[in-house]
Amino acid sequence: MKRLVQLVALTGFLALSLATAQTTFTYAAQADAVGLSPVLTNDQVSSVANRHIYENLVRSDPDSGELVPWLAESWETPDENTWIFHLREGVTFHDGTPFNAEAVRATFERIRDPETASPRASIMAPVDQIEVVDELTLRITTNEPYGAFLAALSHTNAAIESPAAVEEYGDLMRNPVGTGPYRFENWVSGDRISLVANDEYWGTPAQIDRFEIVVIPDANTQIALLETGEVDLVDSLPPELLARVHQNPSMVVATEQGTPVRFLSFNFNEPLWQDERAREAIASAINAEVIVNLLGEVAYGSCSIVGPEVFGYVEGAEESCTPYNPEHAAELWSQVDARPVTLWVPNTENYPRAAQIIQGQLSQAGIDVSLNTVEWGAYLSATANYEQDLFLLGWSNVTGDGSELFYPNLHSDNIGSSNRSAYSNPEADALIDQSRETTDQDERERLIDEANRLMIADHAWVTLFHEVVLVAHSDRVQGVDVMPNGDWFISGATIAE
Amino acid sequence: MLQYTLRRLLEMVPVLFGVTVLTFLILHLAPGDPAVLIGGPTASAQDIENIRIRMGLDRPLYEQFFTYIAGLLQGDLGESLQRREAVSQMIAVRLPNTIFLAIASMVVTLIGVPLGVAAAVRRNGPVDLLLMNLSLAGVSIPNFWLGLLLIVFFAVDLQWLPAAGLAQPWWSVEGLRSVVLPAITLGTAGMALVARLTRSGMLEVLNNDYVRTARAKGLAERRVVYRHALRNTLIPVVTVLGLNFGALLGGAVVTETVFAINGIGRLTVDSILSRDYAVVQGCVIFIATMFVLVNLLVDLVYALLSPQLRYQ
Repeated sequence: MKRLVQLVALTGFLALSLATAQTTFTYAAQADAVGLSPVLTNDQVSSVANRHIYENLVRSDPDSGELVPWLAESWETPDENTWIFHLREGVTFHDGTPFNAEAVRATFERIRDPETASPRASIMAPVDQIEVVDELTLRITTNEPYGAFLAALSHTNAAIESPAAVEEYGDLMRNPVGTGPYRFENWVSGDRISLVANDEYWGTPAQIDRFEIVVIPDANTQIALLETGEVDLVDSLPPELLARVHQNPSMVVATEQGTPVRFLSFNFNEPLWQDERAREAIASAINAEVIVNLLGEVAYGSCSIVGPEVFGYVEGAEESCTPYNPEHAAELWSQVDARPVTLWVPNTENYPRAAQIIQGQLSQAGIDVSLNTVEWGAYLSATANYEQDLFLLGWSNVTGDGSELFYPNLHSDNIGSSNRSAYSNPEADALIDQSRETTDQDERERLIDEANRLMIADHAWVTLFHEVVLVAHSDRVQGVDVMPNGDWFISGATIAE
Repeated sequence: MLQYTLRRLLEMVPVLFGVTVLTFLILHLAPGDPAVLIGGPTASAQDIENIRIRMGLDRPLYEQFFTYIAGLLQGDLGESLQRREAVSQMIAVRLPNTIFLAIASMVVTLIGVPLGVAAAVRRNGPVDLLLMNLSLAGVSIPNFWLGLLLIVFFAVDLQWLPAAGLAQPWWSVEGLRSVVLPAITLGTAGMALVARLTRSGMLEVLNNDYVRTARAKGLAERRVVYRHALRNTLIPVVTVLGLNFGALLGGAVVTETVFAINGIGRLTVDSILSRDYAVVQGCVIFIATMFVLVNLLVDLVYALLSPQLRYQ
């Protein structure tokens, strides 16, 4: 037995000394990536990989959060329907082909093409024409002014793919080729994705040689691997496991107030919820602070629909909120055509926990609520068909722009799909439209704020909490950039031997 | 025997066809829409419609069914709706892990046989009492909990064994080390059950006349127990082992999840959650085939064990 242990230790030591030549960063993902084509995927794990393989024309600055030039060095808007982008020179894709205006045009055309079936083709919906002016200049004309265009261009789905690779493989789901600091090496389906630093990178090259994404579905196992040093970073920990991470002196918890928002809303097709008093009763009966306290580090409070980290939030928006007042709620509820109500709850994340608190609070105000917890897949379909009564849902705000939150969720154009409340308010519609069409960013901020206050006061949603983006990593790793929208980057990070 | 085996193999065809039809119908009747899931909460109605058209979900159900069957008859399990990857490829990548884990857990489960014998021959003694109480615990412990406990103790605290994943190749030291904890997690309940079954079977048999005769002939006790008694108690044990092995080949979702093993069970559950119809179909057909084959194998083993059950 002793011999065996020695042998094992020796093998391990040899393997380790061979590996010291290279630095490897390992991330424990809860699920496998769906695919490595940014145009075709929408899930969190694909996004982590794609954010390192591909790049966008613009991106949010990790420090200031503002949109800054990236693959586009600058841009101008000669009139409100025209965008001219001047692209960065000397950038090549991982397959050696040059990055140029034609590559950008090809990618955007692919997103627009209905046959591509991109889940976020809508980000190109206002675009009319995309023209290559010269090798590094691109002109995009829109059907109407598109104020949130830059924010939309920073979305993962708008990252630039190599047209030569698309030509070769059909789609880049299994064969990603971008311009980013890491290039694709290998993918064992369901198990791990390996990326290696791109030596030819146009910017500051990544300092960590290898980036491994391994699938570890169980959060307890993720922490165990973080403890044994087999994994360097985890990003989807439930609040109850955080204590274990904090107890360990070799682990660092990095947090950032995030853009994702979680809310309760109404099915406005129901006559009961068209009655403003009924909605106000629900809003007054809910004390969201209790939920925020329960979730601890992973949530922060603000009753504003547009969260503090989202463009369009102006301090003081919370003044439009309905204060917690169960007596007032009970009184209002006695005035409306009340009936027992059902709260629909997705079976994922922290929704079931929040739902139980809400149920208790509503019953204190005399509102009879039953919970209907539904599996995520069925939930998305049922709520798009308006089978629900009251319901809980969230929005991740990837682009961090208020118009991009309002338009899909609360504009009457999207009743029947992403506007799952069937909320329709002509005044709000008009403000949302203007905020999308104006290219003056100060004006946009004012319009989004106005729409925000209007819809808070109208009880379109009852905001429960905003999410804190949280990653836990080993103290060997330094310099991980965590973004409010949940993205994180290791491009500028280092790892100790 | 050969004819019997062939007949049984032919009988698989209607079984598998039935399984295919049923899965197809249940999947399409179940609430939830793969296009909505791929689009996520953000997708517009037009985005979702485009996804649906691309996946062929806009076509009538019977047409989708016949397209699928036509592919299946040519050995094509189709492509994942969500990942655009060949289903056969997805199964092939995970199959070795599932087989490795299943075999290793069977080894753990088989330990139940000598334990059951040991308990039976020392009936009501301290060994029997200890083993039977342990086996009661073994059957009762939920395996996700056992798995986490093993990880914390053997991987995190003592650092003797890896916490997750299966190392390749199987026969390497690393491969064998990596399968120890998941195999114990998955095999413990089966081992406990087999120990109890073997014990009760042995107790019945040990009082039979032919055992007394064997002893009267002056045979060594060891030979009496293992040669004469055990063989006659094995029939129910083999049945349980067979069913168990069939189930293991269908994947062990909980153990695969806790130990981050890339196996068939997790693939099945993940694809059900994402309504990835083609992948679920492929997995169910695969699991059904495994089950039928293992059952056939069990029937053949019966014949070997007991001449009474030998078929024409």
